[in-house]
Amino acid sequence: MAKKILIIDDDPNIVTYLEDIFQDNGYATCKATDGADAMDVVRSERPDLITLDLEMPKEWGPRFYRALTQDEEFSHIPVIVISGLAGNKYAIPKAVASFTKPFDRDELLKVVKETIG
Amino acid sequence: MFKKILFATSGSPCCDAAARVAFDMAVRYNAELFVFHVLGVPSRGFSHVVVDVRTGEKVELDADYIAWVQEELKNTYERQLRSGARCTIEAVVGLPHREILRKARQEDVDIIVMGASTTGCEGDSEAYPKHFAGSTLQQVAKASKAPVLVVNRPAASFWGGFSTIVFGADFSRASEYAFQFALKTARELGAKLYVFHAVDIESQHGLISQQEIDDRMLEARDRIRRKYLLQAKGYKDVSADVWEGIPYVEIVKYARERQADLIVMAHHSRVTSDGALGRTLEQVLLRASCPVVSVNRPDKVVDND
Amino acid sequence: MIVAAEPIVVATVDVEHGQVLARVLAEHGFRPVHCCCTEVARTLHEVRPRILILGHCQADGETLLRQILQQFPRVRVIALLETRDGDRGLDLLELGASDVLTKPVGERALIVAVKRALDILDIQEQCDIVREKNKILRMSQQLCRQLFDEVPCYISVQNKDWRIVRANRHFKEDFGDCLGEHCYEIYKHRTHPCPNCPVEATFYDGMMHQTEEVVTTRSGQQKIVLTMTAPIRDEQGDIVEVMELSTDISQIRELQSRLTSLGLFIGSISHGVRGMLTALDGGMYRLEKGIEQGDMDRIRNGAELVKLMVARIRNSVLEMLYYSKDRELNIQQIDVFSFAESVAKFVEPKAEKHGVAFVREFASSLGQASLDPEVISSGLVNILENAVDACIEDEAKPSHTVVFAVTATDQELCFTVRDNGTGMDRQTQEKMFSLFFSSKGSRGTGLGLYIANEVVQQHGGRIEVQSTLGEGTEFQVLVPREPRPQPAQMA
Repeated sequence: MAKKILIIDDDPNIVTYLEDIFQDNGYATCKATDGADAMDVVRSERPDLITLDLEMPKEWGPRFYRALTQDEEFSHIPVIVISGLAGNKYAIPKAVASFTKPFDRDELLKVVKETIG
Repeated sequence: MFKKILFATSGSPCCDAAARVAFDMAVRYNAELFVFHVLGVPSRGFSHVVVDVRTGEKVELDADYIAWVQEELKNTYERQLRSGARCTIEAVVGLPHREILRKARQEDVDIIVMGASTTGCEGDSEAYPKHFAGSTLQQVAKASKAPVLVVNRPAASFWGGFSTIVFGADFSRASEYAFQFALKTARELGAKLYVFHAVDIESQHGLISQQEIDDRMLEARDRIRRKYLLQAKGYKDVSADVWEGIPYVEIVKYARERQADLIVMAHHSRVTSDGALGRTLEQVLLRASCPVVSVNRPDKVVDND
Repeated sequence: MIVAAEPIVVATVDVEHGQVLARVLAEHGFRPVHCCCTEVARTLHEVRPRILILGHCQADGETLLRQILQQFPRVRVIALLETRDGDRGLDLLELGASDVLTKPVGERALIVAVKRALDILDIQEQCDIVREKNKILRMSQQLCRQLFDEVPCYISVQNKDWRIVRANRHFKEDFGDCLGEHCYEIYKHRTHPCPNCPVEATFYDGMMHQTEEVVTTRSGQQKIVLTMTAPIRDEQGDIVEVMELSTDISQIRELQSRLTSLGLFIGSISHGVRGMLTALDGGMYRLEKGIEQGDMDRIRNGAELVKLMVARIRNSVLEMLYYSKDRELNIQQIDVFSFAESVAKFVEPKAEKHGVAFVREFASSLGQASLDPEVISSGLVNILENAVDACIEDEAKPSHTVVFAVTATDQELCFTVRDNGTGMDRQTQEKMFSLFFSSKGSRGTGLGLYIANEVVQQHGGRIEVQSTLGEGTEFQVLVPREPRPQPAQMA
């Protein structure tokens, strides 16, 4: 079965873009448009990897990440930060990788492949 | 808790992160936000020339210029203003720290939000370009009755709301007020509170024995229990930890591990002659990846009821 | 009121005669001082009288009289003659004596002569006062005039019909001799009074009013002025005229707009742009994959997204371009024809989409030029897009055309953008290059033409505009073939 990636971003254009990339490379995707809803999606979809935007209208990325890591069941899910904010690599130091928008597609796919195959 | 927030800004990108936190707090806690900018210092007496704090250029001062600066602030925070915060923008002339303190007193604000420093700021690209806090912050933090919340690194502004608080204990007088503030905040917001102390292993000559470190850690745990935890009474979500090392490093480290979204500390542990920020606090507020609150006085902290 | 008695010096050789005269004078309330003829000069010095009665002192009375009048030109001298002595009396009068009496001097004759001298003195004094007053008046008038003319402001006085009644030199220098003309014509080339006219407001309420205006001098230079008005009242206190004082604050505003480049603006824009660029990548990816897979829907969808993002990014980049202070020009050698072609290609699709004909009129052999293609092209695109917008907005004409013409001389390139759209009124024309002025309401940022003007000026070029409301607009962007340093704008 295809590995599933959860895309968390509030910009629909970027969600679509990431869906395109991942689906074209044989991954399944699901999405959440805010940190606040993302935990529910994690529980129902049980993704293998998460891409996380930092700035979102209701709940920002770091809070979601904290909630994720505090849940034994999901704390192991690797997270890749994709954000337009400068200094984003300091926001979630334990993320697998941090990408600054606009990001290098091949770099991202390489990291995803290395992480979940 | 936070009914009135004073956001003191230089309007430059260095206050970007602090702005994010200030506006977020205002919306989240339905507070009244005062965006406050001090326009430079009269260069001589009541002269009409001011030095623009941002450019250092001399500017002819008139009502127009002030209005223009106010308009500029509005442009600067245009995005944040759309967040729906109840907010007034004001620009005044004077010595920044004096005007900020005056405004805080006049509005009886619950907290002051500031960036760490403006001069030498290089914007978002540098995480912490300077290793000391700005003079305005120093003076405000020292004299303010209200706690002062400092946001330095951009990464410290990505949290949104306080639900995991680390209190850096140092057993000083001011530290008691700081604890009151941390506890009160935790109670009202339903946040986890971690009381933390780092035993300083560097302050002695040469190496110190492990037994001495262990003894001092035991002593610290005991003091934390007596001094702080007993006060927490019924509040369940409090726990305590004591680590050893260089205090500011340990506090930053501990906050990171706990994924804290707020650090609370006393203004300074010992009375220094110049009233400067304690070295530990100064380094913590420059380096932390969450906002840091400095508490120096009991006024806005201890419950009156 | 006690008036000090008028001192009169009586100088005679004949002491007794002198004493008689003195007694008579004293009886009439004067204060006579009697002295000998030889002491007359000293006595006059001491007493400083206005009247001297000079007896027949010696044979050469004329010499003495001349000496006295030389020393004391204002003293009235009543000369006494021993006998009717031919023309001597007349000689003395000619020399400047006030009166001549012949012995024996009767009391009545003496007093009449003294009174007459006093009358003349009074008249003289009054004349002096008037003369002095006139002098002061003249001086203060001159000062007023000087102040009025020399203040570094434009001062004009206007009547209720908005006609200029008076204007200072500074005003006349920059706006022409305009007495009797309407202020709105002179200042703004308008045909009707400006909205929110401060002069009108002052006529109405008698208070001072203040506005900020963009005015155009007769040499076509635009100035931002701070205008204050104050009422001028007549003796009944009615406002008959209003004084308008305008200070040129263009430089301050310019400084302020430079200072604007600071602040969080760049931060927030660049953050936004990052998102847009990523979405643009997304659109391109979709486009590429669609082409690869032959999926028309994907292609169309991707192209839509690319178009949308490019438009958004372009706007943001333009704004940043302005906000980044002192942008260095990136001068490159370009082929003018292909440059113009690339500019046209940018705007053509938009024109076609809205049914506006887009016509190229490129002269042959345009040659090469040195300019910053990026900024000049964005300026031209901005003007061309405005032209297309003006055509879209115009509903009066059945068909619309935007002409993009390029001609060149040895020295200069001339890009002409002509449309038959809505046209602009004079005020819009005058304000359109100012910062944050937009005629498009929320759809415009007020930055576009400001930036276009900035970059063209940076090249040492200029933009000229002709427009008629309802008929259309013509922009001429003149750029030197080789960039010239920007002429100093400081006055």
